[in-house]
Parts: sequence; structure tokens; C-alpha cells
Amino acid sequence: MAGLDLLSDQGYRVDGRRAGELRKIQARMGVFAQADGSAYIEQGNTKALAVVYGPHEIRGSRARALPDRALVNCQYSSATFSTGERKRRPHGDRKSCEMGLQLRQTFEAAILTQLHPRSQIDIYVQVLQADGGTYAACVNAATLAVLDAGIPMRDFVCACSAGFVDGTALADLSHVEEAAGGPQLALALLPASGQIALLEMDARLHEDHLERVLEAAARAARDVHTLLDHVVRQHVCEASLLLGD
Amino acid sequence: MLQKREKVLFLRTFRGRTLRIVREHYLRPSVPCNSPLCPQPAACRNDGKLLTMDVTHYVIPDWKVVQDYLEILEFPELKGIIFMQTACQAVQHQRGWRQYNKLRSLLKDARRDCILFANEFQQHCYLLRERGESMEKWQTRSIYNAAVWYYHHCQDRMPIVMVTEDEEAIQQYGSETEGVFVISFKNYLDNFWPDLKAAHELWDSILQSRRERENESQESGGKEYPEHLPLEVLEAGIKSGRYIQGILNVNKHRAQMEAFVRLQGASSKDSDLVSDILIHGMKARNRSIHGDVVVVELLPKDEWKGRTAALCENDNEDKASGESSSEPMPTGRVVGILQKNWRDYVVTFPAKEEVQSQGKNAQKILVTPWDYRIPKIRISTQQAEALQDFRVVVRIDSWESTSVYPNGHFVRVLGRIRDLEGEIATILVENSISVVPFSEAQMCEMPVNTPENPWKVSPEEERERKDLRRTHLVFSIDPKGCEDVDDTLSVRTLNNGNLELGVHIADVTHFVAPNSYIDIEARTRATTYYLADRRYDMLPSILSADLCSLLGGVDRYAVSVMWELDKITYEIKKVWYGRTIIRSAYQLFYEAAQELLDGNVSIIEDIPEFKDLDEKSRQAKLEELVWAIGKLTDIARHIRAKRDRCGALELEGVEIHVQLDEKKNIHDLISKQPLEVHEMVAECMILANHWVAKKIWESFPHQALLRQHPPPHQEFFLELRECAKAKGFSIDTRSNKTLADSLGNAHDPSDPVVNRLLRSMATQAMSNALYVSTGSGAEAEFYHYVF
Repeated sequence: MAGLDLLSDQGYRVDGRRAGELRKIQARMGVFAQADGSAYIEQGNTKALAVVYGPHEIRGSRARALPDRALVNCQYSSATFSTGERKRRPHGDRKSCEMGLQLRQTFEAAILTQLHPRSQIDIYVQVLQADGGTYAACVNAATLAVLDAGIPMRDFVCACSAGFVDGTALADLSHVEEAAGGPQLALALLPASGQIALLEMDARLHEDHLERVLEAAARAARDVHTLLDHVVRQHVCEASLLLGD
Repeated sequence: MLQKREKVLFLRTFRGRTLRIVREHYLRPSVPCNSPLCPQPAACRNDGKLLTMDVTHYVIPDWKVVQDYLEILEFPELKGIIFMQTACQAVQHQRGWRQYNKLRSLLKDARRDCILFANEFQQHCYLLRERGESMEKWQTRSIYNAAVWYYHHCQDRMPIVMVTEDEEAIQQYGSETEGVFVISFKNYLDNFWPDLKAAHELWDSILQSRRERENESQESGGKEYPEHLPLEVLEAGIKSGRYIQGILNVNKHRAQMEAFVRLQGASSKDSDLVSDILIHGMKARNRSIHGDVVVVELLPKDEWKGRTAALCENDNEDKASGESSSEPMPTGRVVGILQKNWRDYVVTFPAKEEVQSQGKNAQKILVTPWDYRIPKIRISTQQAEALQDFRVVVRIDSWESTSVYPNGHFVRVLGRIRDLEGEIATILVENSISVVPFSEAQMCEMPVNTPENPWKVSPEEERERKDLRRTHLVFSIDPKGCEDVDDTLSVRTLNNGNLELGVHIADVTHFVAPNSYIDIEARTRATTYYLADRRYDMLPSILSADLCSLLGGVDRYAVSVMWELDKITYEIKKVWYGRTIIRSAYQLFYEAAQELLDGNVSIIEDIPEFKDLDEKSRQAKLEELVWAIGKLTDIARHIRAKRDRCGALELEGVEIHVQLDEKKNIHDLISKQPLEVHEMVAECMILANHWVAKKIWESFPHQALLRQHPPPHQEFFLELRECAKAKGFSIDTRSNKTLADSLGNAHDPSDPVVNRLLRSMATQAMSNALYVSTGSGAEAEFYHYVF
């Protein structure tokens, strides 16, 4: 039996998308009433839930408080049923810790933390179903949740992954494409300014190709931005209607 | 715009548990249909190759037909084939890479009138697999559904024939839609291609070999060979150093017993293996065939065997080889095959008596390949007697562990044994050379040059290129009767007294755009094949023998290198590279040039360019030409001497020239007489190559493709040293310089042949030249041993 062709000669990927096309994105804001902000996103079959509390007083040790800006605390966990084979530990393993740190870096770059000195912002993200691009889904969900909480940000943070197969850059990898083992790049972008909040890649990729992969990821992140912007506007519309009554 | 569907798959994990996996599947309103009948070509984005209009119908093969009869679908006569994605995936999943790649290259080939239709990504063609529906049924249903959609998409203007092997499908769908016919493949061939005999024969032979394979797998008696190990085990074994990967090389003289595995890459760095690994006997070779990439396990040292030293030895195998073999060498056995390099094989049928003696099953016949190194192949055919005197192409289908010989099937007849055309076809097939004529699409890209519509230098090019037509005396020296003149030379005195030497090469790149059909075709052909009485061109003859041939008296585009040389020391002062327009004044042949160089003027009777001149201008022109040839020779001698000082080698290879008589029969073989002009032309070309390589490397320090000659292995010189010792000479092979010097000293005044023989032995010891990219290695490695 022959393996899968990630990109066919006709330019189709395994799931029928072309190289630059995103998976279907659906999102909702304000899914939990008791949290300050919350959002749910589906990117293809990757589903993530983000909840934001804060800014509030530092909990626990007071020594952690920062005099000039707010402390951003991120926690990532993935449900035991999120992958094909059940996971043992939903959070606290190395991978989750790393993901939490990455999210923290991303949002420290985006949230205007200096407006809330000596306070804390908590972002909790849970992945309900993992089908590739978990980091991107987490960032996008968390952005919506932070917006929902009304915490001032420089800009949206939109994330997308990109890979490289047979000389072509693929945007928004699915699990099958990730599992094939090629280079994969995760990018979190501030779309208005084009600044990069986080860029991560842990495979070898020739320098000559990096530009193209980065370009593909950035274009995909801008597409994500258009979609998220639409979701936010719709949510605000709905909310103001309710207020009007 | 895209619609999302979900597919549920059940996969088995390594531990044997079943996983339920949901995968997304996106559908789109339009995928390229690649039909010229398409009503909205813009929406379909038909940018690849299109089907032709001049067919009576399109044919859509069912997945089973594609899997089993792909070879028949490869016939160029069959046109208008639409391969459905469903069928292609069935091939990919169930038939492995070899078959799938064949299908892919068929689809990519611009000459072939077939396309792929991505039916599973089209929203109206995609069908969800129903509960309890078998994979096979679903595939057939999808293909039929897509066929119907395609028919309506082309506005019912082109009837579609779906060929399938599924009787039920024929029953069910046969008369469901008007214009879409569902028939069996046999029926299709009978009705539409009754005259295509080769296809019918191939169909029979494939069917037969398949039936027998099925029978055999049911019988499955005793195993003849151990099973191959699974791929993961092999890869892990290679990594850990337990197994060794290499290419199997069968000994031509003892094809039954001896094969060697040449190590690949640097895998031998940790083991202390220096030589190749011996694979002794067919059992140890374990169904691998000459050229396969195999994985070998070394045997324990006490089982190592030596290679057979004696050449002529009667075949009572093991007994004799024990006695006359040399030192034991690493011996191994094949545990797996990483890559099968099976190709088409030319075979002959055994004589009639032998066919009968092969016993009860007369339909199966063991045929003998033309290449000794290939084992006999078992094929099933009823035409054995008719094909007795023919050379025939067969393909290997499989080699089960239960079978002594591989199973194959008959493909086509090449020609009679001992018939010239048949034998030439044999040589071509055996060397995997394809010589089909150029297709129309490829010829369309070619410029025109006919008497009514002659090709001219275009004004834009005239502006961009340096015009040498009036300023330089350009001429070519080639073998007599040469049609493809690719290089010319020029020399002249500049105003400041210095000399200007020029080498001009035909500018093929002007006519062949990158990635054009012609470019792709030329890449697969790689070179022009010269046979004694014909040649198979890499580029169409309009280029190779006309527009890219620097013929005498016509304007041609060229790429030139020109050096300014000091008038006395011949030192290179300046180099210029660029595109030019030239007009070669003389198209000389070697012998004539040599005569002119020697001052023998009477040869000008043989040079057509001098014929129509009056005495006076002839004299002037002749003087000019003789001066140029003389000067070039002088310069060449000088460069040569300089190269010799740096350690250039002069090697000897006997070149044979074939003389043909009027009927193109081979008349005589004569060895080429080495002339000084040969050397002169060669020297100028080496100089040009040297400077161009330098320029390329300077411009593209990381991506220049250069030709390199690695130093030869010292052990290959052993024979040379011993032979020289017998004559009382010592050959120092430590470096190219010492080798050149000692070869020069090894001169027997009484017998001049000795030196030439030693030189040709040194040639044999050389490694093959390689092409390297400068980005891949250190600067010191770009080193040409001979030059």
C-alpha cells in the first residue's frame, strides 16, 4: 500500500483543499456568562474553548505582581477525548506547559498590559478536539475571549500554521498533514501592523523556502482576521440590540 | 464556496486497536474538467492539458480496469481517457507506488490524451459511502455518477463509455442514462479497437497471468525463498548498522551464482568493509534482480566465500568454486528489497523441444532474457510457437516466495532474431531508451525554416546580440558528414597586436524555453543517441540539424567566449562572455584541416566553400584560413603545455569509426587516426569549459552545476602497475601528475603499442565523471583528475 500524497499533481490536498485555502472556521463569543470573557472556535475539526478572567488583583503570592504592567497567566489543557487515542493527563504535562508559555508570550505582546499595573489577567484554553493547528486555534479563541472581556489590545492576534510539501507552502495544516512529519511553522500575527507576535518552527527548512512559507502563513492569518473581525462585529451587533431593548 | 463534509475512517493502530477517525472532506462547485467542450472554461479553470475534440467518445475506466489493465490504457492509440480520482486512489492504495507513479507520469505526459478528473472534490460528483456498502461498490458507483455528471457537463455533446469489470454494474447502469454506456473492457476493445491487435494480445496475457497468480496463491506449496522483512524493520536495521543497503550487481559471467552489492553512500564508515559484499547463489539473492536497491545482512565470518577467479569453469557449482576461489570476502544474504528497478526485458522463447519438456503445464513458458544477469521469467502465452524466432518484450509482475522464477507477462514483439531493425530495437529497449517521434504539441513550439518561409535573424535579437558576422572569421571542424555542428572557432589579430581567440557554441536556449514541452522531452531523452547508421535526436531535427547547427554560410545564434591573448606569451588578458550572431565561413572536416595545417593546399578541391571563387580571391581566402588554423594550433599547443605542467593526463581510448556502404550496411571498422587538429579542437573546448565553469561558479557560488572527475581508487590501478612491471616500467599512481609523468616515461622504443596499451589501461581505472553542485561541497573538491 502506498502512502498518502499530501499534495496531488492537480494541486489538491488530502481533504480537497488547495494549497492556500483555510479550513472552515466557525466561532462564537460570550459562551459562558460567569466568566469575564469567553469564546469557542472550530477550525475544521479542531475545536477550542477559551475563557478569560481579569484584570483582577494578584491571586496567591503578592510577590509576583509587576509594578509597571499586568501579569498574563495562560493555561492550556486538552480534553482526554480530544485525540484519536485517549490521553492520560489532560494538563500539566510538558507539552501543555510549553503551549501555555507560548500563549503567554503571544498575549503579552498583544494586550496593553501597562494599563493595568499590579494586576493579573488569566487566560484558560481547552482543546476539545485536536485535528492539527491546535496552537493557532487556541490563539484565535483566546483573542476572541480577551475581546469579549473588554481588555484593551493593540490589535487582534491571528494565528495560522503553514507547512511545506514538494516545493509548495500549505496553509492551515490538518492533523494528517502534520503527522507526515514535514516542516511546520506556527505564526501569530498582528494583522493591522503586520507585526509578528510569535513565530515558531521546530523542523529543518532551507532558508530559501522560509520566505514563502512565512508568506503563506501570514496570508492565512490575514484571512483568519477577516473572519474573526466579522464574528466580533456580529457579536457586538447582537449585544447592542439586547441593550437597546 | 467550499462545502464541508466529514468522512469517518476506521484505522488500526500498531497495538491492534481500532480507532475511529473523522476526517474533513471539502467539496467545491467546480474542478477542472479539462474538456474543450466545457461550457464555462473560466469557472472550471482548465489550465492544464485538454482532451482532444476529434474522438468519437470519451472513455472512463473503472477502478478495477485501471488497476489491472493500465498497460493497455497506456497505448497511444487509445485517446480521450478520463481517469477518475476515485480510480487513481484505488491504484495508489492497493497497487503501490510503482503502478501509481506509472499512472501519474501518464497523466503528466503532454503527448498522451488523458486527464484526471477530481470527482471526489466536486460537490455534485461526490457520493457518501452508505452504511454497509462495500468499498468496491462505492468506488464503482462514484465513478458512474461522475461519468454521468461529466456527460451533462459537456452538454450531452460527447458520448461517454465507462468500462468496468463488474458484471452487476453493467446490468444496473447499462441503460440508465442515455449517452453514458457501461460495458466490459473486453467488449470495449472488441467493438472500438478491433484492429489494435497488440492491445488484444496484451489483454489476454494479463488476464492469464492474473488467473495463474490467483491459482498459485491458493495452492501455495513449499516456500522457495524466505520472506522479505517489512520496511520498518529494514529501515531500523540500516540505521543501527545491522543491515547494509546497496545496489545489487549481478556478475555477468556467473549470473547464476555470484552477485555483488555495492555499498551506497557513507553507510560503510563505521564498519570496516572496504570491498563489495558477495551474494552467493540464488537463494541468498532472495528474488532481487540486477539493479535493485537491496538490504543485506552479513553472514558470520566462517560462512564467507571467495569470488571465483577462474573465468572458464564448468558449471558443477559448489564443488569447483571451493577449490579455485580467491580469498574469502564479506558474504551476505538479501533480507529485503527497498526499491525494485524492474524495467521491460527483451526475451526469447526456448526452442520447441524444450517447451514440451517443460511438462504438464504447457501454457507456462520459461523465457530467457537477453541480458544474462536477469533470471528466466515465467510467462503464460499460447503464442509460444509462433513467437519462436522473435525478440519479445516482457514485464515482470511479481515474484512470490513460493516460486523459483518471477512471473511476467508478454507485452509486445520487437522483431525477428538476426534482423537488423529487431536487434536495434532490442538494444534500445535493454538500455531503456525511448525513441518515439516528437509529438505535435512539441513541434508546435519549434521555429519554421522551409524554402517558402525561411528562418531569419530577428531585428530584436540583432540589437541585443554582438554581431560577429562581418568582423570575425568563424569556422568549424568536425568529422566528415557531420550534420549537427555545435561548436565553431575563430581567431584574429586585434588592433593592438594581441590575438583574440573565440569559441562559439550554438545557442539552443534561445529556441528551447525552460519547462516547455520540448525542454521536458529533452530532459527525459538526456542525449542524442548515435548508432552506426542512424541517430536518435534529443531535439527535433529542425534544431539539431538546422537552426542550432552552425552550418557554413548561414546566420546562426551562438553563445561565445572570447579571450584576448598576449601576442607573444599567449597569456590570457581579458575574457568576454555573451550571446552573438555568427556566420560560419567554412565547415571543415578534420582531415582537410590537418592537410591545410601541413601545408598541403591541394585539399581545397574537397572544400565546397572554395569551389565557386576565382583564382585570386581563393588564394587570399586560403591564406587567411591557413593562418587561422596555424595560429589556433599554436595556441592550443601552448595551453596544452601549461596544463601538462599542472598534471594533466593524456589517456588513450581507441575510437572506432564505422564505414558504411551505399546500402547502409556496415562495410568496415577503422580505428580513428589521431590528428593534431583533433587535439587542437579539444583543447579549445577544454579551455572554454574551464572558463565558463569558473564564470558560473562566480555568479552562482551555491548553485553552479559543474562536472567533476573524482580521483580513481588506487586498487583499480593494480593491474596497470603489474602489467607495466612485466615490461620493466614502474607506474607511480599517487597523483595525476606522477601518473602522467610515469606514463610518459614508460615508452618502449621498439614497440610503440606498449605505451598506448598502458594508457588505455589507465583509462579503464578512471572513475566516472560526476556532476556536482558547488553548494554541496568544499572548494577543494571541485577537481578534475584528468584535466
